[in-house]
Amino acid sequence: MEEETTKKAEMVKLISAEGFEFVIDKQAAMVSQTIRNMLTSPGGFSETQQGQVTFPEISTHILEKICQYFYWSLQFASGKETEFHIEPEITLDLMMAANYLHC
Amino acid sequence: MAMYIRVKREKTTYFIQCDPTEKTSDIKQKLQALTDQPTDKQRLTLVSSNEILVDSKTLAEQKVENDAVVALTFRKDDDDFEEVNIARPEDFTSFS
Amino acid sequence: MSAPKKRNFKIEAFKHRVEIDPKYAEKTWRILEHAIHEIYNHNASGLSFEELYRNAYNMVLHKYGEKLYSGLVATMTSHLKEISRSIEAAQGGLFLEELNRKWEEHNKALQMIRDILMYMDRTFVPINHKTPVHELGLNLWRDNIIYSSKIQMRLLDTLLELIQRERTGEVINRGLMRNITKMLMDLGSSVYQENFEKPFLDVSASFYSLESQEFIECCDCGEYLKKAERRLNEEIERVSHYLDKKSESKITLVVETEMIANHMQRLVHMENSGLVNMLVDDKYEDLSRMYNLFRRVPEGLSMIREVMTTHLRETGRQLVTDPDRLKDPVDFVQHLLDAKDKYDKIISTAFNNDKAFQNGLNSSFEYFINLNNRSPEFISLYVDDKLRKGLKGFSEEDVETVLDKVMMLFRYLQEKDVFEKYYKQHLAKRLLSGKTISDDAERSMIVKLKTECGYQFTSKLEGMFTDMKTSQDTMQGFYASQSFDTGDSPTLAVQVLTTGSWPTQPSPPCNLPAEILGVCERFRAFYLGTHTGRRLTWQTNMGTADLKATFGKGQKHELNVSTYQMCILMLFNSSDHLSYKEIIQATNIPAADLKRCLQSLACVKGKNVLRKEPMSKDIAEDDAFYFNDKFTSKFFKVKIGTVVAQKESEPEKQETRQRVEEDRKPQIEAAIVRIMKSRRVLDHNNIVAEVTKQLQARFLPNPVVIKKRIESLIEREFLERDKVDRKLYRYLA
Repeated sequence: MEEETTKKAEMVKLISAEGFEFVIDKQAAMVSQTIRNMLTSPGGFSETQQGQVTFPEISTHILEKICQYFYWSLQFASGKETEFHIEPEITLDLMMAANYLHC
Repeated sequence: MAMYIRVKREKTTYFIQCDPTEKTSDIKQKLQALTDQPTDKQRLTLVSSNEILVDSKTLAEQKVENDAVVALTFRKDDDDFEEVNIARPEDFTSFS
Repeated sequence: MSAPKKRNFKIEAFKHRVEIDPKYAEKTWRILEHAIHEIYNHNASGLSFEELYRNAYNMVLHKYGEKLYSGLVATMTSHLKEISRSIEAAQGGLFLEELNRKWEEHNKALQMIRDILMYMDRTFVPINHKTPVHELGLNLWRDNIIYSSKIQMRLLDTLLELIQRERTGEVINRGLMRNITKMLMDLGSSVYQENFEKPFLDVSASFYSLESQEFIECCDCGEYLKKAERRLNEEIERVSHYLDKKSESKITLVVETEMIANHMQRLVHMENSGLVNMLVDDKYEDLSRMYNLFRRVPEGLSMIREVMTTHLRETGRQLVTDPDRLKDPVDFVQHLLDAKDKYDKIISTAFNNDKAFQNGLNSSFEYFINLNNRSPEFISLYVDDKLRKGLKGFSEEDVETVLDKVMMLFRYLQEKDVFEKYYKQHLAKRLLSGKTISDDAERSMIVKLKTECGYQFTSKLEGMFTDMKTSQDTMQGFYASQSFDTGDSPTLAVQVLTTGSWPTQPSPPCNLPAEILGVCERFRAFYLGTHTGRRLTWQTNMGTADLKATFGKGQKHELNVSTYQMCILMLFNSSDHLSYKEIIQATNIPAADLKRCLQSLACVKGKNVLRKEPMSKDIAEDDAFYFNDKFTSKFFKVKIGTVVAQKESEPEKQETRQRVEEDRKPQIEAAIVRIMKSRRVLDHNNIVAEVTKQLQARFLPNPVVIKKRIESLIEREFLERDKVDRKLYRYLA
């Protein structure tokens, strides 16, 4: 039981505009400076309490790509050098989301 | 972090960190913590090949690679597993 | 999106929602303003960070950054004004606590506000050269709270009063103090300095000025220093607990100035308890405390050093010029060594082994040891005493320690050549009388002198050791060569001394008894037989003899006497009484020596194997001497006053001095010639300086003597005066 709660505590849920849910490691989510602040700011914002963040302006497709980017980023930091592939048609939307998330 | 896989069921995607040497059962253990479903009530299917993953085999043995998409289904009350169901965003409109 | 690699490209944010509600900005701001109120009112729980962040993000994106920023300033300011009133209203002791509580709340709120406005901080603020949110929050706090007319002075007074209370022994809430000073520091170092540190230092200066005045009137030096040290430590501790680290040097400077620098003179010279008393009484703790406190202030250590060396010079001068001390050379040197030990210990224990202090100690010793020109002789006598008996039974290590200490005194001597002269005499007597406790110790001392002064200094001393060894071998050879039975004839022990190595005075040999003469002649024949071309002269003034004597009632004794005394006593084998004149005629011993010998044979109780008529202490030329048949002694062996090395009498001293001066002449001349040979032309003053420099390891040449040597060299045409400049000398090759 104990282990499970810890496990859950280390995960956060990101929810897209269409209500899709991405359960990812907190460590990965914190690649985004904005999410990091949401999860660590004092004073008990709802995100900190619930361990989930809703992004009404980010589409599922982009949010999933962002999550993949988070993990790629962690792998990259630990020395694994691969390209992060971005389909041309989503480039602009992805860049906007990145600006918003500061990552 | 060696690799991760994306485990999908309906509108939910779990990003699971794992190692190619881990067995399917190890992944199910991790999912149990997140879904509250016991491992024996889980089934994992590699979406690209439509192969059901075997508990005793490792991810590498079953060609599950980094960033792979794996479908998660649960055992229904009648002991059958539900159909693979991964929702598509196109079917939903944005809230705003 | 910035990947860790070079993917750090930027893209102009995309304004997607082009259609804008005309009231959009106002509505959005209202949401944020409301959130800020909630945050200050502790109602933030449940607010969606994402929503607030998104609203602020969109405002900035849609060019309402200025509205957002100025709205923030206005909202925060109004909250701070309210907070200010609540702090002002806090009663008495609650004031600081309320301030601290509100400060903590403000900080927390500020962080939350900064987080939701992060996008503004990232983009709008730098582009428009605004103050970032966090800094803005601190500035607003400073201006509305700390600089509020009803808070500013009250805060300062409260802090200073608490510190004052702590200084008088009360326990205060240090945690609260730390929070408040930390707040001042967070608001900027100038806020901390102007609103706390400067007034704090001023108040401290007057506090310690007053307190030190009080202490100095009622405490002795040691107590005062303890109190000063405690105050200093308290201030350092205070800084570590609740002040800025940078304040430490400033507040300690105040304590140092007020409590130490301003009273230094008075403390050091305090009657009955000042520095000199501490030195005299070996108060290591007090001395150490004084050292550690005084080192903190300018001129502090030099003052201690000054007083210490002055005291040392004065007591040293008294010691070496005290006529009572001069009576016993061994005691004299022991006192010097004790003084050195004492101050060495003080410097190592209390003065941190400070090099400058060690130098002061050395120069003081050098100064006063050379005030007495008998110091070289006495130091040599001290060694003599130690090597004859003083070190008997000591371990090799302990012997080394004693010798090392002696060497230390030796280093202070300016006239090392005088020491050498005496050392040679004393060593000769030790070797010849076989009275040295250990060959190893003797050699160790020689090695030390050699290390210190070089080969030349000790070559003759080493020659003496060689002679002793060779003589032993020679005697073995001599007895091995004698085929006849030596049972009845006297046993002869000859030490063949190389002329020049030994401090012998040419002295005509006395007449030896026939028995001795015989064996002496045999030895001469033996020696010259193996060493052709050499000349042997008997130094009868230096030998010793063991005699068997039978007194009345058949009492037998062995008498240990000098060769001269033996010659005298042997005369009594053939007659019962002899006059002084008969004795001098028969023996041919120089009158002065003879008198001394007779005195020790006839006038010393317990050793008087002769009887003198008339009975008196001194020997007169018409005295008569009798074999003392009634002589008794509880010892079988009786040692009769062979003259032990002791300090020289005044005339002897003069004579030695003269010999030293004679020996110096060639050394000075050699130095002059060496110098002139390389310089060719040199003026008088420079020659004197150079000669002094070259010779100072051995002695300090007198300039007058140098001048005389120069004149002598001119006479002998080694040098000439310059024709024009009479002060200039030229070397004549």
